[in-house]
Amino acid sequence: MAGAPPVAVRAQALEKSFGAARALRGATFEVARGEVFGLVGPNGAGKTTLLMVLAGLCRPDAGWAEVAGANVATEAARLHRLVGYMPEHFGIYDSMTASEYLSFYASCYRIPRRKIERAVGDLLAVVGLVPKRDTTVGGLSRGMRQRLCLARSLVHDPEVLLLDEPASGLDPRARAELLELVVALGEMGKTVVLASQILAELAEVCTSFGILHEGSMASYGTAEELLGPGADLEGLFLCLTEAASDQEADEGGSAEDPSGEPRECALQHVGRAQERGDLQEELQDGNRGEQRWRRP
Amino acid sequence: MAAPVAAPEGIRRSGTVSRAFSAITANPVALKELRLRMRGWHSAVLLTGYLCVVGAVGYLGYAGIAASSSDVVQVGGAGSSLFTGLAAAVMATVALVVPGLVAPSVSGEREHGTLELLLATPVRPRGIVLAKLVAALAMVALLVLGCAPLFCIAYMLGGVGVREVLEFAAFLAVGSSCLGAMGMLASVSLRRVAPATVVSYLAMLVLLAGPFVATFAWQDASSPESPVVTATGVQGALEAVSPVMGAQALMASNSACGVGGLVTPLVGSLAPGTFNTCDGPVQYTTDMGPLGTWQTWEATLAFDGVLAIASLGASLLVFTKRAFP
Repeated sequence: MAGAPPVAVRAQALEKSFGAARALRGATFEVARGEVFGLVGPNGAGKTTLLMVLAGLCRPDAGWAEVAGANVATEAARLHRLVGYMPEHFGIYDSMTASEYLSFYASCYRIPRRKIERAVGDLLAVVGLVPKRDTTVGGLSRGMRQRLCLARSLVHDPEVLLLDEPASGLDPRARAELLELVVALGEMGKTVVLASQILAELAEVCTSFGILHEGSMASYGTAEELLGPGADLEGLFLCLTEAASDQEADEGGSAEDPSGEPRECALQHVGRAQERGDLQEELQDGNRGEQRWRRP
Repeated sequence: MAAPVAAPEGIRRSGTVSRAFSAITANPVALKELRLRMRGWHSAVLLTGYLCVVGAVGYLGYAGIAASSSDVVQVGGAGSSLFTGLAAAVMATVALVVPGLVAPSVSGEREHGTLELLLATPVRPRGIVLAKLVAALAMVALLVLGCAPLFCIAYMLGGVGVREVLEFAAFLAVGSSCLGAMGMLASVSLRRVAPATVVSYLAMLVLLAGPFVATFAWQDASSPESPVVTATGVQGALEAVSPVMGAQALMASNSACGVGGLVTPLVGSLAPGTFNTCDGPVQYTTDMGPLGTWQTWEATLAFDGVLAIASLGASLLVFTKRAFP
């Protein structure tokens, strides 16, 4: 379609199981290029698995996904050059200095040696760690390590960044600094997929959102599409995940409260009469997983 | 148009070696491993302790020789014995060190949460495994080269030629690679460092002690009277797969005293005047059936080589399969 922004991430009916546990159940969504996409979901929703699949670290059992035009299942080598990935829990090489740490990963991405020093200097400047360039990574604070890891994920200038709870465990100041960095990356034109449970920080940073619940994308879209005037992300999230849980318990029955009343909580948070009808319809048709609401 | 001129053999070979060297040094994981290994206190302690052990063996052997004899011919034979003693000490310590170096390489990355970040880069899983193994074996090479001055003493005493040195180097390289590859299989198969290390040492123990102990069940108790002893049947097979028997055979073929080359100078140093020359080298051979009769140490070398390749292949297979679940 002419004028439509190009898609940076596209996933269709992704399925992934680990033994008996189904981590992803038909997750489908799209992220336009240049967006900062907030991936929201409760514990165990499948956020980490979804990011690992998109980063090419985990092969989907079914469905397909493309990131920056590279198929996650068949083009792993190309994908790794296009994607920067920052896991929630990551290890570091304590005895390396910050600049050595980045240089090492730069050489893993086969960046020419003559360019590495400059790239490392630039990245340390971006994440505000220039004074710490010769400090061993083991001697950095947690916030600094998070920023260093973010710099590591940028070392090969990827098109898409996949950040899994990048601000978890940080104090408010360090969290704010890291989120500022994410905003700056978005302004630089990077597509960022940011998984988090802290909805307030996502609402500040992200331009679009996806709500993942039990392996399915309960809803996704831009902030304007998902949230009407006076609505908030947290309320929508609570409503959608609750409705989806009830639907599963009812095996596809209508999304009603035990009292038989429709889920007014969702309607309150969307806030427009038109959407009121759309949402109610979608919640009741039993097709949880691939709902996408857009304003007319 | 002029036909392309083939490069001389020597140049081609040096080009191949250069490419292989470049492939290793260009692998960032191998370089990182080497640097990080050398930075910790572990390496300093390991290198110091190792050199102390081998140095003590060398010193006691040399002191024994010096105290027990001034006969030029006898001292010439003692050079061979000193070399054998040092070689045995190096092989024993390397066997103890290699599993400990290799086992934590991949399992440690996994345990510390750095493996996921490595796998997210274009470095392929097999590149990671090979780089880790090369880095561990490079550390072994450093340990062995650290003993070079001691071996020089033996060489200058006489009785040791280039052939003996090369045979020892080949045996040590293949044996270390075999133990390293087995340790790597444990490292890629197990998620934690501690179990991987325990399994690596158990594998080493089974390989070294198993066939060696079993050999006694079939061994002829009498001392060899002939300078050539050929093992056949089960005993031949056990000797072929036993690195200890292979090492003993290698030493016996090169030294007048075989494994006694280690003991004799030590006894001489503790009790001056008791040092004696031995009867002469003994060639231990193994009947390999349709492949003919091989020197026992050559058969062991071949077996270790095959085991190393099989273990490395299995490591690559397991790691590649597990890297991206």
